[in-house]
Amino acid sequence: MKKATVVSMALLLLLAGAGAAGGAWVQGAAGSANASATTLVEATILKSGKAKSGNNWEVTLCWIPSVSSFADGYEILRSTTSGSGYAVIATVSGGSSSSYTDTTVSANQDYYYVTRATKNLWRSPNSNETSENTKGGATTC
Amino acid sequence: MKSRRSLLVVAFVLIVWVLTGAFSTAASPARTPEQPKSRRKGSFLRMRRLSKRATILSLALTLVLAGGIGFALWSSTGSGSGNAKAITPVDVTVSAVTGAADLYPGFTAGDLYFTLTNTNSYDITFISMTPGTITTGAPGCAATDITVASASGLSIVVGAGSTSGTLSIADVVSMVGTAPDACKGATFTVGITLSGAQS
Repeated sequence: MKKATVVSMALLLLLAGAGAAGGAWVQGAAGSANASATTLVEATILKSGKAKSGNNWEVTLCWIPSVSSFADGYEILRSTTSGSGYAVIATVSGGSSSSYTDTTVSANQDYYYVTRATKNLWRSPNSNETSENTKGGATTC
Repeated sequence: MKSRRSLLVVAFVLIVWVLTGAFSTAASPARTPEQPKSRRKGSFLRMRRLSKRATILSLALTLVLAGGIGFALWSSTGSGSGNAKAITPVDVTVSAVTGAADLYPGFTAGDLYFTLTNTNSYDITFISMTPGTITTGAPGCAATDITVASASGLSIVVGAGSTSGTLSIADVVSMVGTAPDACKGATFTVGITLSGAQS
C-alpha cells in the first residue's frame, strides 16, 4: 500500500510536470512573403579618343564601370546616327573593365557609341552616348 | 462543462472522505504505553485506513490531472469546442512586403520579406519555414526562375496582439543563372508556412 502511494504520487508529479511543459501551444502561420530581383545599372562613358595609323583609324572608348558588383562584362554598341540604330560591335569581359578600342571604323565618318553592362542574360540600360569622328588629328580618352 | 462539474464533485467527495478518516484519527487520544493492546490495534487500523484513502485520492487526482492535460492538448489543435474554456489559438497572418532587391542570375542568398499579425493574447516564436507556391507578375519572367529553400533554427518573435515591422528570412532564395532579362527588378511572391510555439 505504501509503495502504491509513492507510485501514484510520482505519477501525479510527472503529469503535473508534463502539463506545465506541454502548456506552450504549437502555433502555425500561413501567408506569403516577397523576394525581389535587383536591376543592372549602366556604365557611364567618360569620353572617347581616336588615333590614325597610316590610312587606318581606331576609336577608343573610356567609361566608368557599372556600380552593380555582379556585372560580368560590357557590350559596345555603335551607330552612325545619334540616338538610334545602335548595333553590338563587341563584348568586353569583366565587370571592372573600363575601355575598348574599335578598330573597325572608316575614315571621314561620324560614330556614336553606347555601352551596356551584362550579367548572363541580363543587360543594363544603355549608357550615355559619346560621339567620335575619324577626321582631323588624334585625341585621347 | 457537465463532465468537468462531475469531476469536481467526485474530487470533493474524495477529499471529504479522506478528511473524515483523518478527523476520526485525530479525535483519538494519543497512544501511550499504558493503553490496552486492543486500543493500540484500533489506532493502527485507523492509520492504515487513512493511508489507503490517501492512496485512492492521489490516484483519483492523477486521473483527473491526466484527463485535464489530455483535454488541454486536444483543445490546442484549434479545432474548437463549445466546452473548451482554454483560449483557442488563432493562426498568425503572414503578409508579403517588399524588401531589399538582392536577386540576380546565379545569386543564391536572397531574402524573403514579410510582416506577421498575431491576434492571440500571447507572444509567439517561429522556428521554421516551409515554402509553397511561387508567383511573379513580371511578363517574361517565370516563377521557376527562382527557388526557395526551407529554413529551420529561426527565432522570429511576434508580440501578443500586434503586427510586426518588416521581418526577413535570410539566404533562402536563389535565382537561376539563366534568368531572362525580364526578371530584372521583378518581385516574386512566395507562399510560406511558419511553425513555432507560444513564447
